Formats: sequence, C-alpha cells, structure tokens
Amino acid sequence: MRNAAWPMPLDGNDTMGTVFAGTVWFTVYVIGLLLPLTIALLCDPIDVVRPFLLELGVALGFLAYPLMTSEFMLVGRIRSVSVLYGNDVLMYFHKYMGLVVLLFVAVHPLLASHGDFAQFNPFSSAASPRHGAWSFWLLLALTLTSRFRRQIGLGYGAWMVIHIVLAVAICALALVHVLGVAGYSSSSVVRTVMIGYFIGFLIPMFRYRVWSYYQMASRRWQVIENRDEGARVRTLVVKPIGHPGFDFHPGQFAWIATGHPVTSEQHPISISSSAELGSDRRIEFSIASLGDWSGRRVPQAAVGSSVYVNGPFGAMSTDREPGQGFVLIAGGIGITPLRSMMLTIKDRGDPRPVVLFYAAATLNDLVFRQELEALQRQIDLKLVLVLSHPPGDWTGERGHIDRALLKRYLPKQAMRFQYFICGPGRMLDAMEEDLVALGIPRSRVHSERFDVV
Amino acid sequence: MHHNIILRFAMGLTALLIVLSLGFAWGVRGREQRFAAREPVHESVYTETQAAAAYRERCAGCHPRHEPAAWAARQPAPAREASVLSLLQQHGKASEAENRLIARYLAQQASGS
Repeated sequence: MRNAAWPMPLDGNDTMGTVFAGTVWFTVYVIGLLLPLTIALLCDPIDVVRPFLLELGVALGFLAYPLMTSEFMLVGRIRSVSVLYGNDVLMYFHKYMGLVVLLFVAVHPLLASHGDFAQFNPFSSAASPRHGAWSFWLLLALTLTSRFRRQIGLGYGAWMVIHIVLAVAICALALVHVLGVAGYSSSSVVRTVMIGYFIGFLIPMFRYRVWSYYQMASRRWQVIENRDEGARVRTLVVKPIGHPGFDFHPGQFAWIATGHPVTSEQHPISISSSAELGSDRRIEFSIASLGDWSGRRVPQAAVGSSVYVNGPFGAMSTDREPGQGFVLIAGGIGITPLRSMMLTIKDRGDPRPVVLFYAAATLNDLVFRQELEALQRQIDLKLVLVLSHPPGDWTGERGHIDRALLKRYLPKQAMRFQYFICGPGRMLDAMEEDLVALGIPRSRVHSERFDVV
Repeated sequence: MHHNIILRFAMGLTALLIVLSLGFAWGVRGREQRFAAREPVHESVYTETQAAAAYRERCAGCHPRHEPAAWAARQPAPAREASVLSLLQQHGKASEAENRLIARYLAQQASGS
C-alpha cells in the first residue's frame, strides 16, 4: 500500500544522511548570511578610507538584511527542513535570530552615524534614513507583539496576520533603505544581490501563504468520526477525499483547519493514529479543549464535514531514532504522538520493548487509559501511570514523574533505548534534565514543543 | 535544555557574525592606496553648482541639507568651514577634494551667503 516516494522507517544510514543533510542546510544558511557582506567587500565602490566604527556599522547592516530575509525560510513549513531539525528547533532558532536582527538593526545606524539618534526618526526628510527608521520601529513592534502576545490578549490568528504583514513591510523598507544609501549599494552587483534576497524572501512567503493554502484547499479531507475520549479530548478521524492523503512517521504532526484554509485558523496537531495506514488511509487527531478553536469548533465538526490538512511535519519519531527499545514520557494531552508510536509498533509487529510513563492530574484525565492497558497485551509495553490527585483506591504511582520514579522503572539496558517526551514545557525541561542526570546520553532524548509563541 | 542548546548555538553564530563584521571593517581599510590615483576634484574649480552636486551625490541620501547646515551654523564662524571639513573627513564617504567642496558649500549655506 505504501507509495515508494513516501517516508519509510529510517535505518542507520538514513540517520547519518539526516545529519549530513542538516549540516549541508546549515552551511548553505551561513553562506547565505555572509554573501552580501562578501560581495560588498569584493565590489567596494567607496573611494575613501572611512572610520572603523562606520564600516563596522555598515557590516552589521549587511548582515542584518540577509538575516531578516532568511527568517521566513526557517518557519515556512518547508518539509525537507522541518524533518531534519524539528519544527520547534526551527521556531526557537527563528526567535533568537530575530532578536539578533533587532540588535544589529539598532546598532547599525548608531555606529554608521557617530551615535546620531536622529537616524531613528521615522519622519526624517531624508528618504534613506527614514526607510531605515521605519524598518527598525516595525521590527521592534514585531518583536514586542511576539514576546507579549498573550499578555496583550492577541489571538494566535490575529498575531500571525500582524506578524506576516510586519515582516514583509520590514524587509521591503530595509531593501529601499539599502538601495537608497549611496555607499556599497552604489555597486550594481550589490544592488542586484540585495534585490535577489528580497525575492528569495518572497518566494517561500508565496509558497507558504498562497501555494500551500491552495494545495491544502484542493485536497479535502472528510470527518468520518468525532469521538469523545473523555478528559475534554476529542479525536477527529479523517480520511482523504479524491487524493491519497500522506504517509507519516509516528510522532509527526500536521496543520489542520476545520474551515477553508485561507479564512480559517490552522493549528499544529500531533497525529495520534498508527503510521501504518489502512485501505481508506484515515488518520486521527486527538485534540484537547484548550481554547476557542479546540473547545468550540472541534466538538462541532460533524461527521461528513470537510477539514483541511497539511502535513506531515516534525522530526520527533521512533522511525528516525534506532534503538533497542523506547521510553515514552507523556504529560496530559502529550500522550497523542506517543499513542501513534505505540500503535505503529503494534501494527508492524515490532518486538522492541516500550516503557510508557504517563502523568495526569486525576484518573479521569488519563486519555486512552483502557486502550493503553489493552496494548500491554499486544506489544512489549510496561505502563507506568502517575496521578498527582489519585483516588483513594489507586494502586499506581502518585505525585509527579521525577528522577527517582524514572530510576525505579528504567530497564537495565536503558542506555541503549531512545527517549521521547511530550507534554507541557516545564515537564519537558524537568524530564530532559532528569534523564541526562541519570546518565542517558543527551542525543537519545527527544522532544518537540508547540508553545514557542 | 532543548532550547538552551539552540540559544547557545544562536549566540555562537552571532559572535561569529560580529567577528566577521570586525574583519570586514578592518579589511576595507586598505582602500586608500587603491583610490589614490583617482582623478581629484580641484578646489580651484569651486562653484556652488558643483558643490551642491557633490552634496547631493555624497550626503543627501542620508542627510537633508538643512541638518548639516544647521549644525554648521552652530560652529564658531571663523572656523566653521574647518569644523565641517573635519566632520566630513571623519564621516568619510567622499574624497578629500569633494569634502572640501562640500565643507565650503555647507559653511556658506550656514552663513547665509
């Protein structure tokens, strides 16, 4: 049933290939950052010696521009990149390099103008500094709306629109600023390169915001079941209509919209079903009620209604990490990608042992509990359920997953297992720290976060 | 841990970019000799039209004329042209001859002549 062009479980050679491809991508990224500065240095149309600090300021500007135009590449849902690094890694890197852009853009005019703060005046009568100043202030607005989105009550959908509009405006103004300064950009080669970077910025923007939405809209999926799993979690079972859908690795996620992708919010949701697809190629998304979309729109998604799915994305998968067995650690709704991993292990007849640590507040908050207990008889699974508020007759573990609990249940060959963690951010931090403290190699601990913004 | 590694990675890359910026600023210092043979603009051919053209080419992209003229007006009149010239030499986008043209132009603008 599996199309040869679609993903298959990775072996050791594939993992090496992934590392190699990741290195190549990063090298290309760094070369891309340095190219405008290098070309400016080689073309150098300026005919006098200028102060060191001025040239340093100019150099920071020549680095800030490719940094800002490449920011979108990092988060543009480019599947081949997402699979290499993981979406959360790219999101965090995007966030940190965005701050570097802000730093460079702030320091650039001060160094280039001997500390003249008038360069930040967005109403300057000189065109070039005015464009630069607007680019800076919009960049500051973009950074602040991202950093304080929740505090200022900005919804994810509205924030995304603002973020994209500001990003395009910032890059366009920066380009106009660069072209207007009669310095290095008086070289036609430098000007061409700078325009090329802006076009290179627009292409993934077009691909992400126009083409992928068109593709998504033209590949309809149908809800064939909307199941209440308890614990305020619903599972949408969807199947592709008129197209083959997609294969995925267990642990990956997809973007899902319950309305038309152009007008509806899209949400990154882990696929919770087995990666071994049946004849109708259905997949499942288990969604906890956390906000307006998940709490109201998802329960209302009727059987027979259309949804739109774009995927798969993400690098956290048992297929990607060869090991003698797996330790899975879940908190709350974090069980969903791990469920996909266990169901896939079952469907493939994979004999490797699995230890699942699953923490929740109460017994009713344990999603898929009966299914997990049944799985113990179908695969080599050790189930460790942990409740922070257990009922009186609870015979499982109490409290939280901590170092002592992990140590008690980890198998003897724990060093040769692969570890997958999914849950709230604080839990991920604690588990990563505990596992490394227990001697598990850092390279064997895998997680993916969705709460970056 | 996960994001701390990425943060360190981003900081390392930033440090590399700053070092390369310093290298760039150091690297372009050798251009003095390269342009020594450039045909000079002689002070003796000063005309306001030529000076205004030099200002437009070298300065106006970033500084509207009234800004440096206002700054020049605040300098003591006897040394006004010299002060403007000194500033231009530090800023350094034009040649020495062009700097002299522009300095005289701005000094005259500041003096209202």
